[in-house]
This record gives sequence, structure tokens and C-alpha cells, in this order.
Amino acid sequence: MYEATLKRVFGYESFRPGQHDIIHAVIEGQDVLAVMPTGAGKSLTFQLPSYIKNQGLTVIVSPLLSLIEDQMLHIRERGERGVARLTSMESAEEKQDIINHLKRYRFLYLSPEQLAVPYVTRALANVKIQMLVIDEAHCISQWGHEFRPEYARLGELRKQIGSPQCMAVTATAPEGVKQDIIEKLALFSPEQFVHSANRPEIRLLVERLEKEKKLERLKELIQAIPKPAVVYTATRREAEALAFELEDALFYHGGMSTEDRRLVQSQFLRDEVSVMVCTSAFGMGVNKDNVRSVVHFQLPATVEAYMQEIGRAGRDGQPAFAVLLYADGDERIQQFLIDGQYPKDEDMRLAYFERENGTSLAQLPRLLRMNEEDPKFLLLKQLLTERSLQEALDWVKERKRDRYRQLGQMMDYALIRTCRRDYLLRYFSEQTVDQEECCDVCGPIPFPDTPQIVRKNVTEWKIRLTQIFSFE
Amino acid sequence: MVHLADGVLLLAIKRLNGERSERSLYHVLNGKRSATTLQDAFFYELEPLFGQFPQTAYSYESVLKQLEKRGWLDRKRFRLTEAGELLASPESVEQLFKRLGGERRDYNATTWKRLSLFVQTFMSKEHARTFYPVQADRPAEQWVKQLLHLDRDWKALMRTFHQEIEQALEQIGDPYATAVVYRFTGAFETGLTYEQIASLLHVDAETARLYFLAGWNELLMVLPDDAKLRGFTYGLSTDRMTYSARESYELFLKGYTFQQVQAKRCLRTSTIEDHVVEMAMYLEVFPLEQFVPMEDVVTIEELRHPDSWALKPIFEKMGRVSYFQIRLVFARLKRGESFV
Repeated sequence: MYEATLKRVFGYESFRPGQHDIIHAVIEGQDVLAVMPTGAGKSLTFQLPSYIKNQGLTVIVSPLLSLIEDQMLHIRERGERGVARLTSMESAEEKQDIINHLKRYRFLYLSPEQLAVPYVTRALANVKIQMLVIDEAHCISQWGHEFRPEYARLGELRKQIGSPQCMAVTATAPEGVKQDIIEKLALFSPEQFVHSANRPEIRLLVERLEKEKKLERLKELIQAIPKPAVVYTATRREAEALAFELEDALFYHGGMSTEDRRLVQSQFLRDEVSVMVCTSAFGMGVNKDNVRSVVHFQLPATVEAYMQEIGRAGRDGQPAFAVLLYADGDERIQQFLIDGQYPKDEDMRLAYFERENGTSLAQLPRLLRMNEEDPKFLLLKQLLTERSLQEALDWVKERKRDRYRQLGQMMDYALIRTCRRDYLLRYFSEQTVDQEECCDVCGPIPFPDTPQIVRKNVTEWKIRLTQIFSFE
Repeated sequence: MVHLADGVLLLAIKRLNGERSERSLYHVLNGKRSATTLQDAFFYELEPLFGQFPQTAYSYESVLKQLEKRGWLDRKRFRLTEAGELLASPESVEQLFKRLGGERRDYNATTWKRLSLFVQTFMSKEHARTFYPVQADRPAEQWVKQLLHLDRDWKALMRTFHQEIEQALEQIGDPYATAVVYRFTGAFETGLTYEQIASLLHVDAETARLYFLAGWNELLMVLPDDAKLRGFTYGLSTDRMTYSARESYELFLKGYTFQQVQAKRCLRTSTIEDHVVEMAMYLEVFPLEQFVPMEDVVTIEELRHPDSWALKPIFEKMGRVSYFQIRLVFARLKRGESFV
């Protein structure tokens, strides 16, 4: 039905599974909640209706700059000029220019913070909005693994811009998270589309071993598994250390300069380097179809995070491998990281005490020896305005307990002696599936023979410079 | 393992001579454009480092801790130990240090962003390759976009750019040349990270980063004035004076007195004083006598210990001159003038 537009605008012959039904619901004007695995073609489902209905601006709220950038790049690549973004990257003049000429645009990407800026909200209230899209919608739920406080206001903001039709999209959402999304965004009897979280092309493996042997095993494994490969670790320091140990590997984490991050991504996208060692900062929004393996050197914090991270593999539909290396006690690193995300009890008591005695919010960071940009401090600030001390203490305690529970579920995945795919699907309230080459519990999973990539030798700088400037 | 980059930091501490605090160096490394920091950089010859080591207070603290732990730094006095002095002294440290170009940091960095993005964009278009921009910098993006709209024989110009870069780098030599060239991204070659360049050059990543900064700064220094590449510096200035100080300077040039300048700009006395100190530091010609009587200038010069730029001893010995006046005299002395 919409194939002509698909061909004309996007250059595709046919839809991928599920896309057509979502697009249809959107065009019918319904609120939509779509749970689709990464790489299933989410963005097309909210972009295509814009060309069919042509009824104003499509506003897309997205949590990460890299995601926004990536999507804009893709839209521009196909020749669409009517796309703009409002993020922390734009200058005040640029923002004003975009706001003044909203009619020029078909798609407007913005961060939740920007949507909440009063003059942005007002400007959007005064133009025709065809649809509001909330990307990574699971961030709205405190049950989700990536709760973002800035997402909490989205429901109210939707109202302020005239309650346009709304579409919430996410890659992973167990039942509790889905309910939260619907409620918080005030979706009106939404059509729900839930794609199976199962990724049949990905084989699941867990290796249990002693801590001291992990590095050695990782080195062997990287030789054996098909590449390109992504190795996930828990900390920046470890990412750097592992990349140093492995051949033809680079690290990637949030502490690098923008230019270096870009160089690393570009090299990986172009297969100039075959292994990427990274923290969870890598991935969101990186469109690389041919990742063949994802190795976890550390346990992720939740099953959702794990699904999302291994979901980077095999997007081209070809066989891929997800290997988790687990040593007893590995979970302690995640416990430590979880604890670090919440203010300590004594700090909370001190903060409440100081506030009651007239200390200003601005003075608190110094008293608590916290950075004022620290998410922990931002959370504390929010608690101070919204809750009593006892409520705040309880809230943090409960949140931590939830996070530990989620971590426990991830540990179970590593420890079970039954089918791992079955475990993951049940986690997402789905039916078991039977398949060949499923997981290491169901049967042996051989790695295909992979040709070792031989890297070119270092060239002298003059030759390299000539290559860069060559028109041949 | 001792790296050249460690030596550069140690040399900076050595130059501070125990007269300034840990904080002072922190602000220099981060390039804080306050009067005190500009003066510290000027008097203690730290301008090449100015703003070239941006870091958080937390990471600065851990760097200092490291230096102390390795026995190179006495944190109480903020001076080097003997072992530290040794590491700060090689000629290679000094060479790298003086080439870092911190005093022209914005000029250098913006030019690099523009040129590297232009080369990547133009070459990718030539070869019909989609690309992932290496720079996420809006002004640079817009600048390159406007440039590409100009009707020029870009292919011929690219050949000229290539030659100009090659000739400049031949003068500078390795390891600087390698560090600069491998940061460029073309249609098929992605630039290398500092870690990768480090392994090419057999140094650590931080040293590789400094080689790039130094190499790029040198390239812009040795580039002939009529080089086509100079177009990428359009609208950029290498002026060290802050914008506000320049405004005051222009009023002085029109013949206004100190009080008139202050009244006109509605700024505090101390702020205008800081502006005058900037003028004394950066201008070729400066009317010192307008601010300090000649006999005091001479006394200050005679009282100064040849290795020290500390103000306090002079202030205490003389009694009748202000810190502001001592600073002015010091600035001119530092520039090599003598009044005795």
C-alpha cells in the first residue's frame, strides 16, 4: 500500500517484517507503542508516514546526541534537507533560527531537555505537529535499565504542545516497562506492536572460568571468533587495558575527545580495525550491519542491557555470536557501579540537615564533596525538592534493591543449565522457540573458520599524505 | 616507564620555581583567561602549555599524586625533587615544550578543524564515498559548507595544499610530521587515534598527542605568508591579548587617561589594571613611565632576584609601590628591557 513512497523516498523495494502494520496504524492516526529490536528498521516507521500525510512537523525526542546525529546523517544522505536538531551542540543563534523557521522542516530532533525549554515548548505549541515520537521510550520507566529523570516530564510536555499523536518506540520493554510508558506518556488506547526479542541468527554462549584466566581466554577467543567483533567491559580503564592486549583492537569510551571517538567509529564502520573494546557508551545509534561477534568481558547490569548490546551483532541476518565470559564474583563490579549512582545515606542526611538550616543548593556540592554535574548530585537535588528525608532514604534503598534484583537476573543467565535463549525470551514474556545452533547448553556451537586479517604495514608519512590527497 | 609528556609537565613545575601554587598551574593547563593566569603563563614561560592540557580538578589531582609517588615532585613546596629535575632537563623535553603553541591555541585548533573536515569532505565527494565527519563542530561544518559553495578549481587547490603541507612538514621532520599526517582522514583512510599514532612512534598516547599539537603549531608557523593554506585561518587571530583588554587599549590609544577609561567602561580599578598589565606583557612599545616613576622602575629592577618573579619581596622592601606597578615593571623586564 505504501510501497510507492517507500521506493521513491527511501529507495527500498519492500518493507521489513512488521514495518507495514506500524506505518498503517500511524497513518490511521492512532497512538502507537512499538517494541522492536535494534536494527529492525524503527526509524522508517515514523519517517515514512510524514511523506504520506504531509501534515506538519514530526518531532522526535531522543536521549543521546550520537543517536540524533546518526539519524540525521542518514536522512540527509538520502537527500532530505528538511531536518534539524535542537541539542546542546547548537548555539543560541542557531536554535533561534531553527525555532523561527519551523515550517521549513519535516523532522525535528531534540533532546528531552531541549523540549522542556519554555520558548521551545511555546514555539512547538504554535505549529502544526503531525506526530511526537519518543525514541528509546524505556528511559521513561524507573523499571527500565536506563531510567532518565529528564524523560519523566515528557507526558506533561506532550500536553503543552497540544497533545499531538504520539508514538513510543523502544528496543526492549518487559511488561512493567510497557505499562509505564503508556501511563506516563498518556497514550490513548495505543496500538501495540511487539516484535519478538529473539534474534535467531545470534548464537548464545557463556563460558565460566576463573578470574585470572579471563584475559588469556579473551585473547584466544578473539583469534577464534569471526570479526568484526565488539568487546564490552564495565569501566573505561579496563577498556583501554584490554584494547592494548588484543591485536588489531581499539577502545572506545565516553572519556575520549570527540575527534578521537569519531576516528574510532569511522575506522570500525569501514572495517579498518576489526575489534572494538568499549563500555556501554558505544553502540546506541551505530549502524554497522556486519558485526559478527559480541563478547562480554564483564557482566552487564541487566538482561535488557545485555539484549541491546548483543543485538549489535548480525544485523545483516547472517550468523553471529554472543559470548559472555563469567567468573565468580564478577557481579561485584556492577554492584559497585550501582552503589556509585546513588547518594550515600550519610550524604543524604547531611544534605537535608544543611538545607533545613538554610544552606543554599549551590553550596551543597562543596559540602558533600560532589561535582555539581554528577548525576548523583542531580538526583539528590531532585529528591530534596520532592521528598522528605525518610521518603528519600526509602526511595534510594528500594531503587538499589531493584537494581540488585535485575543484576541477579543477569547472573542467573550466566549460571543456568537450561536453554539460554529460553531464559531470555521468558524474561521478555515470550514463548520458547526451537532452533538449530541455539546456545551452548542446547549443543556445541562451533565457530566458522575465519581468515585472519593481515594489516598493511606502516607507511612513511609522505606516502600516506599522498594517499589522502589522491584523486586516483 | 618515563614518557616525554611527563617531562613536559615536570618542566612546567620547574619553571614555576616554587613561587606559584598547584592551582596556578592547573589554571594555566586549562587555559583560564583570567589576569592572574595569563600573568603566570607569561612570567614563568608557560605560554606554550596554555590550555593544551584541559582536565578536571580530579584528574589533575591524580596526576600530581602520581608525580609525587614516583618521587619526582615535592608537593609541599611545589618544586621538583632531584630526580624530577633530571627528567625535566633533556633537550627533547624543552624542544617539545616550546613548540606546543598554547598561546595560539584557538587559532591552531580552529584551523585544524576546518582543514581536516574540508579534506575529508572534499575527498569523499570526489570518490563518491559516504563518510562520517571527523569533526563534530558546527562552526567548522558551516565554514566548510560555505567554502565548498565558492566557485574555485578545488582540485588544483587541493594539489597545492598537498604540496604546502608536505614542504612544511619536511622542514619540521619526524616524529611531528607523522603525528600530523596520520590525523588526517581521506576518502579511504581514516585518521588514527593518539593511541594508534603512539604505537607507530613507540611512545605513549599523551606524548603522541603533544607531538600532534606541536607539529601542527609548527606547520602553521613555517607556512609561508602567501601559502594558499592560509585561507583556512580566515578571520582568526593569533593575538594574545584578551578582548576586553584590547578595548581598554584602544581607549588609551585615543588619549584617555586611566580614570577616563575606567569611567567610560564602568569597570573596577583592578580590572583596568589587569588590562594595563596585559598591554605591558604583550605590546612592543609601552609607556611605562606613565604608570611608574623612573626611579622606582630602576629600584625594582635592582632589587629583583635574577631567578625570581615573586612580587612580594619587592613590595615589602619598597613600601611605596603597588603590586600593580611591580607587575608592570616585571612585564617589561621579562620582555628583555632594562632600565638600569
